[in-house]
Amino acid sequence: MHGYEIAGSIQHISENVLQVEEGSLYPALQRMLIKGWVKAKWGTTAGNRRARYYQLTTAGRKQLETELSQFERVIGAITRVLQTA
Amino acid sequence: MAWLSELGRRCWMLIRRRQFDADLEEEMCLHLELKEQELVRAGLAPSDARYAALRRFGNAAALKEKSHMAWGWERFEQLVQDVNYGVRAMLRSPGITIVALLSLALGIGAITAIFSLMDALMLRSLPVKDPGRLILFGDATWSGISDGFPINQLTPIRSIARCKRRTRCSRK
Repeated sequence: MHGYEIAGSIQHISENVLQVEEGSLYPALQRMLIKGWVKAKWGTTAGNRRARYYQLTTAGRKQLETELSQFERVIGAITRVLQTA
Repeated sequence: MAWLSELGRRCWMLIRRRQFDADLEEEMCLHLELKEQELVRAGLAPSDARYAALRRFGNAAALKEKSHMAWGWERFEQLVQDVNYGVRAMLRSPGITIVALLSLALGIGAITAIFSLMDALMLRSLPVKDPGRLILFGDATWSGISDGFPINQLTPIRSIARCKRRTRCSRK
């Protein structure tokens, strides 16, 4: 996916709940490129325009798993706190 | 090993940073245009759509800068800029530059010469084994050079020590 598609899909999947400042996607993508979590390749869009397509790498997938488990731990803790309140 | 390939990627970015900035620019332009088209399709007037797309994108210049800085070379790039500026400023007034360079060179040269003399004379220990055990022999005014001792009194020091050990009498 290229940057625009990524921003669009975040918005679409979250049903417009998550509306980030779209441009802030690009610094984040750069940081992920440095870490080797994604790799980028230039391609052409359906409208015949040059675009940089990003793809998750193996290292990126592994990082995603650790981040997810971290996230689930925090969410679980918050849920438990809210339930007792 | 991960840090090594990360360093490699960072260096690659530094070498090709012009291309890198152009790529980022193109990418962001495409994003804005596609957003604009989407908003027009959703029924906005084209002029409004442009501004709406820009608003939702955020501060493009700042984001470009942030992306560039993410690669961690800003210190280095600033240093290069500073050196550049310094050289240009020096070339603009060559007279002052030459005077400053000359006085620096003379100053450093003089200080180095004086220091190396003092270092050899006063700071460096004498080139003998265990210099701490050297003793000043003779009248102090002559710094160890003395003809105030007849030759038969200059018993070798080693034999004095042997004599002391054997008799343990010298101080009693």
